[in-house]
Amino acid sequence: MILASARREIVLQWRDGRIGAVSLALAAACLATLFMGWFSYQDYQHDYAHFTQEIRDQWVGQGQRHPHRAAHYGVYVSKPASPLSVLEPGLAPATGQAIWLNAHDRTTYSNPPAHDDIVAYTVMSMASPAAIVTVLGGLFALTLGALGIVREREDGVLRQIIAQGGRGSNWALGKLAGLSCVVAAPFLPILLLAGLFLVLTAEPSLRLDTAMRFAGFLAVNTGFLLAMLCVGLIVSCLAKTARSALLIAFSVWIAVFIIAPRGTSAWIEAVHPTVDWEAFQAEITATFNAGYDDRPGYGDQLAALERETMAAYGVERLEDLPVGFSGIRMMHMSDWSSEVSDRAYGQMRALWNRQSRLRRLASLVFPYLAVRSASQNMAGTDWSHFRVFSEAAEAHRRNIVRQLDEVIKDELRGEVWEMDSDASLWSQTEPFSYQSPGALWAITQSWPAFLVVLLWAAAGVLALRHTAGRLAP
Amino acid sequence: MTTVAFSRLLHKERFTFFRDKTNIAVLALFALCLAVAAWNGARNASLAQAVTTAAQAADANAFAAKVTLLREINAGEAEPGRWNDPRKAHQGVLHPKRPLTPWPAEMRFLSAEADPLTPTLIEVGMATRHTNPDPVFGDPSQRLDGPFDLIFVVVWLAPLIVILLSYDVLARDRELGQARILASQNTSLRRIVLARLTVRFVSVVLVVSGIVFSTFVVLPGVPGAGMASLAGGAVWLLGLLLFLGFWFSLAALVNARSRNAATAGQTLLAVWAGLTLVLPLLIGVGAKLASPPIDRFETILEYRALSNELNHYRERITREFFSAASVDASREELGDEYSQYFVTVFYPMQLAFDDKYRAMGASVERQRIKQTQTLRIGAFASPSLAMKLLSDDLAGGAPERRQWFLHNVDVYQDRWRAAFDRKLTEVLPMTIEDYETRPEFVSEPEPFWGRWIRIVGLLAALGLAAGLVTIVAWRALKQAAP
Repeated sequence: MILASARREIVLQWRDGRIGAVSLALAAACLATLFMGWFSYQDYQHDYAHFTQEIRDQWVGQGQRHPHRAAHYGVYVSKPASPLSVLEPGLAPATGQAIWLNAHDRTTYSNPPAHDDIVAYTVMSMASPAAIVTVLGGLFALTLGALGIVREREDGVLRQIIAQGGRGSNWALGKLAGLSCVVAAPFLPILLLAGLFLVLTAEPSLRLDTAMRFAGFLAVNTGFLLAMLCVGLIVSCLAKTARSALLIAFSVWIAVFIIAPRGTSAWIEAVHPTVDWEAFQAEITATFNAGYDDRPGYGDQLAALERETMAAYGVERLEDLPVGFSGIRMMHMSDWSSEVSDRAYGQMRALWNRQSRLRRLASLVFPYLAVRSASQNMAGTDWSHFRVFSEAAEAHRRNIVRQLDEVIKDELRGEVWEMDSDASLWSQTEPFSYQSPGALWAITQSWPAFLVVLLWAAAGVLALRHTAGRLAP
Repeated sequence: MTTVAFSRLLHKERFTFFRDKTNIAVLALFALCLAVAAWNGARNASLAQAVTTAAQAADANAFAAKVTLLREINAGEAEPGRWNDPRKAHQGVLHPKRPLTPWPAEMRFLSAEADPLTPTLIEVGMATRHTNPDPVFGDPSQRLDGPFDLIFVVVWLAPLIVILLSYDVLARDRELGQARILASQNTSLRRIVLARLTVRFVSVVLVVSGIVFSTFVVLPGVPGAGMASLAGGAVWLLGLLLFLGFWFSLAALVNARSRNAATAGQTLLAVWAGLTLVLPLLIGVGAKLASPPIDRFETILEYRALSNELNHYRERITREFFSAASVDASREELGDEYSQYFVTVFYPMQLAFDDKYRAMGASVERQRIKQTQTLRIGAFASPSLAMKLLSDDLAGGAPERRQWFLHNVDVYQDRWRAAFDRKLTEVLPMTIEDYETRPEFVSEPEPFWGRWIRIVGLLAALGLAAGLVTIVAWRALKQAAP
């Protein structure tokens, strides 16, 4: 009966011209955003390669400078785009394009594209294949599901099926199977082709990773659409009229897709407020100057460093040191600064994890949050990927700064500060290289989101079976 | 029908409307969303105010501490530190940055953005270039969808509430066969629909304006509250009336043509999606094509290329600077090598950099304005976009406001430099009077006409849309068959 019901549903929907038109519109939107995503990925790849090379050339060709001033000039590093960012740009528009690595302080992402682009600031954007599949696909699934059974009730078909001794649950599961094919029709062929294309055009070393990530992306989105279809069909089982079923389905869509994302962020912000950048910096500066726990502030540490260095070299005055004290001072300052910022960022990471836990909790009720998070994770455009990149960038910054400070220490004597270095030193610093974490790491980061979607899909099918088993004409 | 009869009809419809629990639930839910959004906006505005106040207090304290130390040094009661000598201009005024804040927006609490386009605070000194790199701090997932604020609730949710309350205002009567009975009485269908929509319109307007203006007036410490912002509030209210009027008229138009409530609801939702999501997106694509956003990679590269170029010519820059100031840059009095560097290299380089960078920075701001101007023209096709831009503007999110603020900052920085330039370059000792008569930044509002012309333009877009739809709906209802 399940197969017969599924086949009948597909034929019925196929004959309905409106469904064909909507499917075509959805496929066109998916295709259009796919092309937009591909072109902006290509642009970014080109700009990224040019930017990375130019930054290196500018660093090496900066001319004569004091090594510490060169550290202040610093370098910029930018996160490479992953092939699946074509499908899901994720947080990239809201996060900075580059990180400036310079002396003393750990910096953060800056200049996010969304800040420069008034259009992104003003308009609620859905311009990605992932958004089309989840937001519009979700609406399509909810609407189809909501009309799926109640219309049969209004037309008297349900009465006939029950009179013939058919089991409502099997009939509804057949409908679910048929409608799943209808919902998948506008997206699945396009996404499969796109996935294949992205895998084949990825760098050979990234192909397997891209394929695994794409499989994860496809699985989580399929599970989500199945869950939405089940919700629609359950509403359809319970509603008395097509009008009320539609009204409920639309209300669910508004709540889940329009209100929930912002509402959840507002709730998280109220419970665990994000710390303001200026306040965070002020806190770091205060700790740097005053110290924490049993660690004294920078002034006291500097005095102790002067005493210890003079004692170590057996001299009475800094001027008599056989090494450059300014280099030693800079190294100590950088180490202390790193210690203070590690401590502050540790607290910040704990805050982000708490926020993340609340978002996961909310995604139990609003699965759109889970599917989006998992899709971003698979595409390598979620916060965990950006955090890994910024950690790598920070490690690189510390290496460069230490290398430059050591030159000051080795080449100067006493307390002299002024010196100049040139391209022979700048070219000795290693260029930044970064390898994005693999698909398995990504899955370990987002398994709760996968689990939520799986739970919703499984619970949806079971609840539909249960509700449809009690169908009355 | 007489006026008295219409008021009776209104009274009857009001009774019917409020008897329906669904309507009450929808209005209550809407009020809840508004209240949460208003609280978010007010909290955000208060936090911004707190950050500003703290920065200004820290600035005042830092200068007071310098004056105290200088007094003690002059009286022989204290020794200057190596890195903290208020007599040296490069330590006393070259490095410190002053917190500057823009003129407050009329309705800042409409937005819960941390910095609605214009920074809440910029730190500026003799040696800064206020490029405002907009650091992204914290998990961007928190900001990906935008804040849950009054702008979101009014622009995106209010039309949905209007649709939920009025999608079946006549279509349902037709569906149930009651429209013929209604039409057979001596009241026209048009007047019945008008009365029903008037009740709904007034209810929604009262809920929105009640909550927004309670926040405006009642909440203490909300910047922008008070008499000075009443004009902005009145303008926003007018925009709100036109915006809601548009959606209610659209509901009337769709009801005049629809045979059943489900079709009317679907049609209205499709129009909402079109005008609120799709059309602004298309207008946005057009705006991007007409004036592409800034290429940050390219901006960073240009910025650094400029820095390298100046570094190559740093000796010439120093020579030219000191020759223009008629000061000998190789004098002994310039102090230790740190003073030498800051006075003879660092400061002249900053000035040379600024001189070249200002044009680059200004072009970035102009690009933002161009995009917004295109969006404003596009707003004549989408009332949702018009209402969004109007609300953004009143909340302080117009790029022209940002440009004006940055211009004022430039002017102030020039004054600040002029006040201490001679002390720095000639290595003259700073006095208590120098510190006490330091120039202060006074934020100024945007020029009146430029500001209000764009507001009036957005109101005109809303008025045009509301007027056109109302006329068409009025005619359609006149011809509507039961």
